[in-house]
Amino acid sequence: MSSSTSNSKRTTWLALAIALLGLELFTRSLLLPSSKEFQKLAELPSLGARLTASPGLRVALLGNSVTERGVDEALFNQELGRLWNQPVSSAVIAANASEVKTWYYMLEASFYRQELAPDVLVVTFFEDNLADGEVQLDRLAHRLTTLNDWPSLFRVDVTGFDERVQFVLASVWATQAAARRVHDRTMNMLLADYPAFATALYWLTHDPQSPHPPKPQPTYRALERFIARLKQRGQRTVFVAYPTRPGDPRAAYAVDPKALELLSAADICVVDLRDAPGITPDLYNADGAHLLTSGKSIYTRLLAMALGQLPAGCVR
Amino acid sequence: MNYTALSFWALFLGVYLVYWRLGHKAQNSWLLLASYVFYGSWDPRFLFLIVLSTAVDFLGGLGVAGVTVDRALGRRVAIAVIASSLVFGSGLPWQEWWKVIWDGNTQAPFAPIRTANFQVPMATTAAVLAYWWGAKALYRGPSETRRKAFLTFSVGANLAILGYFKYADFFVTSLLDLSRVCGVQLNLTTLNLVLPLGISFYTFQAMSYTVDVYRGHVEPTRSFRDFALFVCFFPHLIAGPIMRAHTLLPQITGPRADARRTDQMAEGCVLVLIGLFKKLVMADTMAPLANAVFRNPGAGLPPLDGAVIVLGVYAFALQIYGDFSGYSAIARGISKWLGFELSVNFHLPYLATTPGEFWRRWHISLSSWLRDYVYIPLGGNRLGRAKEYRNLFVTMLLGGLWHGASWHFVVWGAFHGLLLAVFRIARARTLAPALNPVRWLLRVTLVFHLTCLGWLLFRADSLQMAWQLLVTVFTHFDLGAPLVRPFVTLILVFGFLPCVLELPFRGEMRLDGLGRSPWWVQTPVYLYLGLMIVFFHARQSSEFIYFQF
Repeated sequence: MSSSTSNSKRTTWLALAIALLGLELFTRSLLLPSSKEFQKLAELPSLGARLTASPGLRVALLGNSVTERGVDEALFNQELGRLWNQPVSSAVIAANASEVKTWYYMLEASFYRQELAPDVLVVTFFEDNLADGEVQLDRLAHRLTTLNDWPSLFRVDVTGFDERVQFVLASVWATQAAARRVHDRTMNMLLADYPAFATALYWLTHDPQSPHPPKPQPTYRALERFIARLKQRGQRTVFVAYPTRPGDPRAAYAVDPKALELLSAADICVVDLRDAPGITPDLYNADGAHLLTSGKSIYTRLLAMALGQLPAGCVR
Repeated sequence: MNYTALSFWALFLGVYLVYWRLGHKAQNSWLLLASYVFYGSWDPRFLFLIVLSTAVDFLGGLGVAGVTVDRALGRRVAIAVIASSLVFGSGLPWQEWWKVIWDGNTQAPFAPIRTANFQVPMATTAAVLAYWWGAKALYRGPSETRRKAFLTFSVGANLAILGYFKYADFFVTSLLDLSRVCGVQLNLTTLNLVLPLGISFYTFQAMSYTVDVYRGHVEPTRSFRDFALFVCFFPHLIAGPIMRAHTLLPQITGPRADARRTDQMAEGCVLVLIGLFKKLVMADTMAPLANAVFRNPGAGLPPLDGAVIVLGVYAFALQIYGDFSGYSAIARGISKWLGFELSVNFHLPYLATTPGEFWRRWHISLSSWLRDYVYIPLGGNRLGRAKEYRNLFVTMLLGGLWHGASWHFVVWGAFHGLLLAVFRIARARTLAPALNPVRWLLRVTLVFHLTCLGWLLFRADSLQMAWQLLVTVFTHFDLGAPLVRPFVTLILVFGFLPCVLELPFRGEMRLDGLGRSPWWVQTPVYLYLGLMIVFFHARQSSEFIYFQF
């Protein structure tokens, strides 16, 4: 190898290292902090502290975007306060597309790590949110977990070798953690409405009228861990089955009896709002899950009423 | 375990860290062990088959060349085959073996009364004994009889293995369909066999060895270990490139220069990066677009527009190119790290101006194999025009069948055979004109679209699906359909653009040029490839397409 080629190689390596370092700095200082999602997750501890310092009965509403876009906190406080005859303060602890694996760490970050706790925890789920599903590696790696959580993570959440490597990479390399965001933002720029395209593509190949091929039996290790933690903290909890658009076969879902069995064995009440009266198809947007603004107040009242009518011992 | 799994790279790192600390023979043994571990990780039962195929061709090559197999070597080969049949081919659970050895538990279920578990090992032992008896007689007989017998034995055994596992059910099903049409009742059932991974690749590679020994193109090797490594060298075992003995065997039997001290390391890194980009970004982004078009029928599915179907076919053309050329690039890159050179398997195939040129640029190792071992033995172009076109047609028909045991693969092969013949006829009637840029572009566009028509046949699950898609293209074509714009955008950004970026390097032909470029050329290229993989690898990676062959 000639010396000029060696010099060129060295310069190339140096240039690559500088470029990657620059990208990492940019990601840590600008890209990730500018992400609303990451900001929300970073604010979870203060959100939890604010709630526990609030007056009255403190209710944390844990879930994903259907909770965030479905619950009007002020209206919820008012309605539930009226039903329970006491002031109620609430906070929505939600992250887009999150499920039980992420909820565990959201709860830890918001409350338990600070040795705080809400009076009542309301966990809203739909479809397979309670089953062991995909892990949101970027959020767990970069915002929601600490080194102390790694044993639990590797036991329940990231069990495969590839996932563990990706998790460790995302923990130390912010560019990897930001990959999904960069991907989604770029796709939205290229396609104007990437989620709508992805949905359209999905329905091109999944026939809602055909019998679904048998899914592999879901597991519930994350739910079991979640329940064990709630029991350990003596947390009063209600699980709510969220109502997706009625009459829409694409949006309908069944709650796995195994999940109900686990909740029941732990004496956790479950409220099923899937066929709740007052919920009509026109309240939803095109995906059949998220409520429009017109549906928010109706659902909030429904939720408050359902919680207010729970038997004593469930939450009070 | 495949190249997109991080577990593969972790294991490979372990293999690599030890490899260059070993002497030449130990390197070969180490690579052989690693190859069997990687291959066996899919399904250990298939290891018996690959060992059997290896033994058949190893002994076949020695027999063709008239080289006597000494007792020690013969014993080693026999033990390898019988032992692998016992361990991998008997279906006995390994835990039961361990119980017997450890506990002396003679009540274990595998006690000799269950002879069903020993059918394969018993048949293998009988075959080994029959071989030794037959081989002795052949070695004593006339040399030409011996040469032809061993060649027939080797080729026949390989085709029998391939035929049984890959084509038995196809022939049974076709026979049943034909009998139904003729109103005859046949009492046949399919075997529902699992297709061993890479069987089409390694049987072709092993067969070509024996044929090359017969033709005097290569000397047979006397080392079973080296030959076994030639057959199952893991970087290219599952999906090629199919290597010829005269190219790969000397690299195995001869010492290798330390790749860490040469440009091979850097070239290997570039090839692996390119391969991962082509697979994880290009192929896996195109896959959902193609799958949306080549979907299973369903009454509740929205209808497809003809323009979307055309775009879906383009997407598949880019998917299969990214997938397969990506795999080949990774195989070449890993091989360079280990001090080996594998042949280039793709050379900008969609820039071909004739179907013949396409097959000199696409899956080069297979098309050259078919040329040398099917087309030329059939007579090639030496027996007149009519037979030349027949030979082209038959060769491509067999090439189609090689890809899969289904009629739509056969029709795909026949389609390409027809194209080759038609273009040969057209060229024969006119002197090949020099192509100006406009004519070149028109020819490239024409050949690309003819290739895409072939891909439609290739990818469709059946001839009926292919026909329905074609009819829709011509009856319901609307460029204003909602999905057209997003399909076009994704195809341009993640399919077409990467192909354009390959042009300065002529695919993989001038990658050494990249290594000699200034840093301000190399850096953006590596950054682009690496960051595209990090940011845009599809969340759901699909299996390499050619693994199914």
